[in-house]
Amino acid sequence: MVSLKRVAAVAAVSMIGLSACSGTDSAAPAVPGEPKAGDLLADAPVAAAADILPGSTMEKIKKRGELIVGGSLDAPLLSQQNPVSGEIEGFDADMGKALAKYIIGEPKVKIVNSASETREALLANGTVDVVFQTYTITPERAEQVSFAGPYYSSGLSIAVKKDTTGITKPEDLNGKTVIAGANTPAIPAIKKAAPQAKIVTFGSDPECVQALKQDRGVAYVQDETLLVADAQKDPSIQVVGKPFTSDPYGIGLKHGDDQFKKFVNDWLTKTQSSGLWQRIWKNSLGTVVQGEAPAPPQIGSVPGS
Amino acid sequence: MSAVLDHLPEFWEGLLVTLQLTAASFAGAAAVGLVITAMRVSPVGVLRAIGTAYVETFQNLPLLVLLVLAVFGLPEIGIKAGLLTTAVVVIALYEAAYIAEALRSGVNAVSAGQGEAARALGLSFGQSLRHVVLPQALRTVIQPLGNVFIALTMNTSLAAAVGVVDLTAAANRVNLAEAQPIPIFVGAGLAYALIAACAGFVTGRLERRLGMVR
Amino acid sequence: MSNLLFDEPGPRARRRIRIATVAGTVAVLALLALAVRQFAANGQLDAARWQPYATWPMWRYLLSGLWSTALAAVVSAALAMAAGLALAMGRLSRRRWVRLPAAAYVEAVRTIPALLLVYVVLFALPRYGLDLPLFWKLTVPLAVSNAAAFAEIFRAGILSVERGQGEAGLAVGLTPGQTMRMIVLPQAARRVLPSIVSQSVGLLKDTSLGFVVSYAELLYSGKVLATYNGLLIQTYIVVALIYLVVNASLSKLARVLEARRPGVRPPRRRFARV
Repeated sequence: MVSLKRVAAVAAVSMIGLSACSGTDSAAPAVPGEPKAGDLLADAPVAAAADILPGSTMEKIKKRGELIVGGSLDAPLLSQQNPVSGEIEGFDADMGKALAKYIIGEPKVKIVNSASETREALLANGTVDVVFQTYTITPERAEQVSFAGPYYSSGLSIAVKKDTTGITKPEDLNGKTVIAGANTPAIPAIKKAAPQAKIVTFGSDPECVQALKQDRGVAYVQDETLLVADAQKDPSIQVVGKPFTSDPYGIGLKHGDDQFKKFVNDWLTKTQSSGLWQRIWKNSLGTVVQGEAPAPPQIGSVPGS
Repeated sequence: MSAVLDHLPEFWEGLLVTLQLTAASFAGAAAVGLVITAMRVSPVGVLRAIGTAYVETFQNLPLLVLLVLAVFGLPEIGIKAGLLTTAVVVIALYEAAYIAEALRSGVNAVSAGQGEAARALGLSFGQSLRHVVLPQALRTVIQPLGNVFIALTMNTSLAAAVGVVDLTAAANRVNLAEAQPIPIFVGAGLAYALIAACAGFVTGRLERRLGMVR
Repeated sequence: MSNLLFDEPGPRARRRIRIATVAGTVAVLALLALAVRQFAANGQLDAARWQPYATWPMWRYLLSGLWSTALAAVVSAALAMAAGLALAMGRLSRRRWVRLPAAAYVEAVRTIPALLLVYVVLFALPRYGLDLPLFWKLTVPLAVSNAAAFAEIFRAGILSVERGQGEAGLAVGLTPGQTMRMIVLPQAARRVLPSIVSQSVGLLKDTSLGFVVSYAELLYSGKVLATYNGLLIQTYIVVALIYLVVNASLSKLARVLEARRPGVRPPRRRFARV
C-alpha cells in the first residue's frame, strides 16, 4: 500500500510539471547513444563525385536523397527506436547513417522494419537498398543476396538466473527448456548444439528476460552483446561461458550488384581506417562492453561474402 | 507436400495442443459464462454490476493484449502457471464474456410467464434459474454457442504469440525449417476448418434434437 | 429483464440482498487488494517503474501508435465492407455460379484463424514474389477475414427489409439494380449500423496482430517502448487501458445507435475476434 501512495505522489509531482527524473534509479530507462549521431558522423567520409558512377545504385540513392535500409526498431544497442526523439539508435542504425552520409553527403536514412524472413524479398524487389539487421553471412543466403562486409562479428551466448548451476556450455541445455527470441538465429543454433533442448520463443528481448526471471525456461540464448546489456540492466541474471557460435554480420545488397558491393566494401574499409567504425562501436555496443573496440573482421573473409 | 508429410509428428503435436486449448478453455468459458449470466440476472445490484463490468472489459480488450499481460503479469502477483495453463485460463475468461452475452440473450428470450410460474410454485431464484429458465435458454442458444466455439478455436492460435506451440506455431516452425509455405499453411488451415466443421455438425445435431426456434 | 426471475423483494429478501451486496463488494475488494499487494511486493508498483508514463514523450509515442491502429482499422474496415457488400449481394443472387462461390468464401474464411492468414501474407507470399508493404501485410489479411463477417451482417440487413419494399420499387418501374441501390440498401444499412460498429470494434482489436507483423500500431509500439525502457508490464498495462477506453467508447456508441433505431436484431456472432 505504501507503493500506492508513492505512485500517487509521483503522479502529483509530475502534474506540477516536474518531469525530470532523478536518474539514479536502476529501473529508470537507460538512454544509450549520448553523443548524437550528427556529431558522431560530423567528419565521416563522403564519397568523391567520381565514385558515384552514372547509372549505378549509388547514383539512384544520391538522386533520391535518402538511403532506404531494411532494419529493426526493437533491437537494443543495434537498431532501437528512441521514443523520445523518434531517432533510431545503435550500431547497425549508425552504420546505416554513415553509409548514407558517404553516398548522399548527409546521414539521411529511412528504416523499413523487416521481418527476418522477408529480407531477401525486400532486396530482390528493390524495396530497400541495403539491409543492416544482424544479417549473418551464409553461403545459402549468398545465393539470393550479395553481402558486403562482414562489418561485425558476434556470437550467441547463454544467460541464466544468478542462482542457476550446471549450465556453462550449450551441451548443458539438452533436456532443458530454453528461451529464445521468435525467428532469431538462436533457434537453429540451439537445435544444432543441443538437439534435446525444448525451445520456447517470445517476441522481444524484454519478454525473453522477463520469461527467464519467471522461470519459463532455465536459460536464454541470444546475441552476447544484448545479453551483456540485459545483465547490466538487471542484476538477477548473468551471462555464462563464451559465445558458442561465430556470426559474421554482412550488409545485405541486391543479388549480383557487384558494382555496389565493391562501393560499399570500399566505404567499409574507409570507416575502419578512419576510426569511425570504432567510434560507432564505442557509442553503441561499447556502452555495455568493457574495454576498447575489437578489431573489425576482415572484409570478404567469410564464405558467401 | 513432402514438407508436410516429413513433419507430421510436429503437426500432430501442435494439433493436440490446439485441441487441448480448445476443449479446456471452452469448458472453462462455459462455466464462467454461466456464473456471469446468473450474476447479471440476479436481484443483487452489486453482482449485476460486476457481471456487466466483466463482459464490458473482456469484450473491449484484444485477446492478444490479455495474453501478453497474463503471461508476464500474473507471475508478478504470485500466480505462477505454465504457458499452456495461462493461455487456457485467459482464453476461457475472454470467451466467457461472449458466452455470457449469448446466454443472456437466451434468458431474455424465455417468456416472463415461465419465471412467474416457477416463482408461483415457490422455487427460489437459484432453483428457478437452474430448473426452469436456463434449460430453456440453453436450447435457444445452441447455434450462437456453436459460433462462440468456432471463434474460440480460431482464437487459440493467438497462444502461438506467447510461446505455446500449438498448430499455428508448429506450422510456422516447420515453414522456417522447410520454406514451403503453401502446403504447410494450407494443411494447418484445413485442420482448423475440420475442427470448425465438427463443431458445426455437432451443433446442427443438437439443435435438431433439442432446439427451439423462437 | 430484471424482474423475470424475482419479485419485488420483501424485508427478509432485502436483508439478504444487503448481505450479498456487502459480501460481494468485500470479496472483490479483498481480491483486488491481495493482487495489488503482491504486485507491489514484486516491485511492480515502484514509482520509478511508472514515472516514464507520467511524461509526454512516452504518451506521444503510444498515441502515434494509436493513430496507426486507427488508420489500419479504418482502411481494413473500408476494404472489408466493400468486399462484404459484394459478397452479400453475391449470396443473395439468383445465379448459382455467383451464389455458391460467395457462400463458399464466407463459410471457409470464418473457419481460418486471422493469425494464419497473417502468416501466409508475411511468410508465404514473399516467396512467390509478392512482398506487400508492412501496412498492407496487416490490413489485407484482416480485410479478407472480416469481409465474411460484414457479408453476413449486410445479408441479414437486406433480408430484414420487407419484401414489399423491393416489390414496390420494381412496380414503379425501377430496375432490380436501382431497387437494390435506392430502396433496399439504404434501409438495410440503417438497420445494421449497430452491428457494423460492433464488428468494427472487433476489427480494431484485430489490428493488435500488428504485434506479429511489426507494423507500428498500438500494441507493437508498446513492444518497442518496452524494449527501450525495459518496463514490460507497466507498458502493456498502459496499452491495455488505452484499448479499453477507445473500444468501450465505440461500444457505447453502438448501444446509443441501437437504442435510437428500432432495427433488426444484430446477427449472431459467428466470427472470431482477437
